[in-house]
Amino acid sequence: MKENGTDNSEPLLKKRRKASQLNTTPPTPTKVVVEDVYKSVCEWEENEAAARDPDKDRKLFSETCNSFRNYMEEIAALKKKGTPEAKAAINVKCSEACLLFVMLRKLNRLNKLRLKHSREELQKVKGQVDSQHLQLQNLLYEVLHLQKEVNKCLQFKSQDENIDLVPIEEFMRDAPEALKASAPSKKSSKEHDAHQLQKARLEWELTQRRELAEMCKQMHSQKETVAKDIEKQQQHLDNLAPMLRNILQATKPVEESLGEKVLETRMQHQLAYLLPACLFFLYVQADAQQQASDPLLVVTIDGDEDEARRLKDKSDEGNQEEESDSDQEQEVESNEKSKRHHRKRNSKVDRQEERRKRLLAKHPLTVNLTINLKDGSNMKLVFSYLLNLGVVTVKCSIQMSQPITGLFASQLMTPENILCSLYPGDTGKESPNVANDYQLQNVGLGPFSDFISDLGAPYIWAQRVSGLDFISQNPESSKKARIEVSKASVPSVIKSLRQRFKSRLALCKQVQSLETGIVPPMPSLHDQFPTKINSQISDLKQISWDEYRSHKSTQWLINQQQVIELDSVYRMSISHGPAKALALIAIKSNYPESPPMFSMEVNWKGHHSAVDCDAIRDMECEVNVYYKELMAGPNWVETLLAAQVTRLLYCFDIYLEASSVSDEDKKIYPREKVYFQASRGRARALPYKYLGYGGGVFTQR
Amino acid sequence: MVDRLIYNTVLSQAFSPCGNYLAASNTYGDIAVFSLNNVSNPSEDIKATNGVQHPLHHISGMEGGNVCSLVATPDFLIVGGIGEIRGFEWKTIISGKSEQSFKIQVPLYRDRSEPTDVNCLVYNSLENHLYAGCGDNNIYVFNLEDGKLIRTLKGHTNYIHSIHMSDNQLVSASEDGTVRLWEARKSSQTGVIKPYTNGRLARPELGNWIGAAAINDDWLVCGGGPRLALWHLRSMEVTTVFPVNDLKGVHVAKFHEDRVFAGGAGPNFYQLSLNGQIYGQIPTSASTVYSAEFQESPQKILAIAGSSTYVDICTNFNYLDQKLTFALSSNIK
Repeated sequence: MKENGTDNSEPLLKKRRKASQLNTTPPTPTKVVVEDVYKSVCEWEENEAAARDPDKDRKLFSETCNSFRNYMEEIAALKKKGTPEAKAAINVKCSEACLLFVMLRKLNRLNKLRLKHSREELQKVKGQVDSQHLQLQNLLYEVLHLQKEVNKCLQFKSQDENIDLVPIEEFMRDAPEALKASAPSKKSSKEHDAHQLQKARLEWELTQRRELAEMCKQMHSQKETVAKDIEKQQQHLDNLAPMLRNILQATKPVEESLGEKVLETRMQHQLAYLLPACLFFLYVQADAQQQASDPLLVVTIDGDEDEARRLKDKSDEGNQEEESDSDQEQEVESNEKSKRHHRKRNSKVDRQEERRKRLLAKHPLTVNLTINLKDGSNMKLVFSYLLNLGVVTVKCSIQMSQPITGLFASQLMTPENILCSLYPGDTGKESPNVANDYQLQNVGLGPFSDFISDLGAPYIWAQRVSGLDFISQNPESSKKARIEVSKASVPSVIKSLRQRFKSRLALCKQVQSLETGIVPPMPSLHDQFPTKINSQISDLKQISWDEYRSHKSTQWLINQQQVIELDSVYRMSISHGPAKALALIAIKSNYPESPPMFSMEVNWKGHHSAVDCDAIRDMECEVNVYYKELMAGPNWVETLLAAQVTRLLYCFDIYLEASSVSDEDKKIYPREKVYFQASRGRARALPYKYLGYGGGVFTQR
Repeated sequence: MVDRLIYNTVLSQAFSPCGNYLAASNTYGDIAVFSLNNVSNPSEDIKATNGVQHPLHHISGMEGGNVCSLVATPDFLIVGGIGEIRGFEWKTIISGKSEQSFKIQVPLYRDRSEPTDVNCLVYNSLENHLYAGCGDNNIYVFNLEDGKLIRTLKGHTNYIHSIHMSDNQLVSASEDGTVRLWEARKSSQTGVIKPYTNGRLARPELGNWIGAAAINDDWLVCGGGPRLALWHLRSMEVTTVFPVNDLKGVHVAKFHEDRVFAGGAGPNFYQLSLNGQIYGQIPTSASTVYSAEFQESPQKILAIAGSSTYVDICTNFNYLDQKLTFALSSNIK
């Protein structure tokens, strides 16, 4: 039986395998034969396994199992009998069961082979499936990539699409036939058609543009030639101007010999039309004043004429222009902001600076008034108009016929000093236009007084002569210059200026002389003073307001506002023998309307002043209150200060002589002056009053 | 323009008989008339000017000259100027008119070139006589009925600073350094003292002059260059030298009840007891006090004036409570 055959070969095979595994020596020829057998057996077995129906084998297996179980039960039953026949029967049954067992083994082996086979099969198929799946993936990826590429291509924009082309209709109308021909016929496919059309249009565009560029170049060259031409002409005109001027110059002597200043005045009048309204009023009024009554007054207009003309044209264009200007400015500003973000701070500072400059801008023309005095000194006043602050400012300069040598005397002639309080309270330190302070604040500047050295001082009288009236109740009138205001004030202001200048000059001369310790001679007042005065000026110095204020003798005058900070203050030292005195002199800016105020401090037997000594108080009173007696003669302005000083000196003489009671004092200060009584009345007044008669007598008031 | 009033000096004051007005005269010849009704209960506008009250008006007492002395009679304000004495009716003064009612010329002797100052005036109501201490060293007695000179008291060798009368005793203080006592009705001198010869009193650096003297029944107070001192009338001896050293020159010395008021060149006005105690010390606006007048009714007022624009008013005699200014209210503005 086949099962046997296999049964026999099986243990053999195992043995052989074992042997081959244990024995690594190369196989002997006999082995080769055995190998072949084994191989063939295997092959056969495999074939058998493949050929047989596994279902049948399964049935066979279950049958075999059943019969084997039956045998086992029978054997068990027989064993229980334990009879000899039973033993024999058991032997038979055992062998039969063994056969069945062999059968089971064969079936199992077949099954195993089949299993192995089908596994191999499965593995093979699986491998195939895997490789195919991989291939599929690759293909899918490739598809995706290609799709992307396609999209990219579809989205590509050509440069030509950005070019502004002539519209199709125009192209069709204007383009040459050759190009049109290359463009589409309706027969061809649509897409191709559009493309061709595009190409043709582009071609047409190119030719057209070339032509235009050519034209542009030609135009440029044409323009240049014209410009050159203009330049030539301009030069010609420019050359003409000096020639004309020469001609005018040449006519001047003729004019002068004819005694007419036609030309000069005409030029000035022409300039006058370029002046701002307020300065124009001033010019007109001052000019009229000069022609009518004041030949020593000179009125001129100065400044940059071209600039003024430009300004005038601009302002004629009106306010609208200005507004749009500012709009543009804002735009520019915003643009700048966005563009130059990093330079923002820098430009902001620049802008602020520019705005400041603009706010403080002057009109390019100025009106100059020169007030001449008969002795040849003159005061030149330059009136400027501040365009944006709306006030008129004055700068003053002085020219003296004789130079001033005195240090403190020259202080009196400084421009800010000479014009101070021409009218009460008009110091020129603050702008009369109240709005100015806010305007200045807006651009971050200080008060107006900071700019007086640059701009000139905005005196109220300067506004009035220019027709500006800031004090007026009517708010309208303060904004516009009015000629009535100017008309009303010009003559009086010029008069005041002249008087101020004269009196300052007079004052200056007196101070200068006093600085050297000499009292200037006063012929017209000779009967006002005794011939011999013993007290002497040892020193005259200008002092600061703080120093003046610190003196005990001046405080009550300051408290009564008899002396204010604007006054020029001096300290004069007086000596007479061992007695010394200090005279503190406050010279008012409106000298001689208000006379100088004297305060005395006497250093003789203690320190005395008007505050604690009535004799000194009377002395001050004599000088400060009875000054009108010294205003004799036509030129009293020129001598008032000196006369007061002289009076103070002889009063000091009297003080020393008349109050000397003891014999020792009388030796130092013997009675030289003539007086009836050394003291009089309950107040024991000293004889300070001088009477000119009888060789000079002193008496009490 | 210098305001001359800053050098104002008030030499004399007088209360009106009704006690409601005060007249003060200055060296410029003006008399300022103040209403005293406002002193006790100041009106609103006075409060607004920090309590400084302006005069009702000015009266021209002596055109262009000193008004050296004032004295009040029941009907008239008598003004002593230079060379003459004028009388103004109180009615016209209060109403603000400068109309004088009468004028008395002070005799002028040939050896003097200048008119005579009337430095002080005293009115004797019993006889209706006016006593005038003058710059020509004499004391004149005028009858106010007819303005005639009755007597002349001669004896001083320099001008009279002040005179004072009590009962029939007249005391005069003079620049010559003497204080003389007179029997008023007889024009005879009853006594003379020379304080500058007293070592306790003399201040030679200030001079010998006596600026003020006053008497009552037993005492005499006087001072000037020499120190302020109390003298016993009968013995003519110095009883008290007052300790008021900052009074450099006495111009005012008066009895009030048992006290002495004294002022002059110095920062304070003093109220002193007879034995030299200082009862009151009032700082004055004037550097030198020339005049102090007081009244008890209708209200108690002490008015102190001198070389200042201001008149100081004390309602209780002890401290300063108001100031009157000489300037008219419009002058200030």
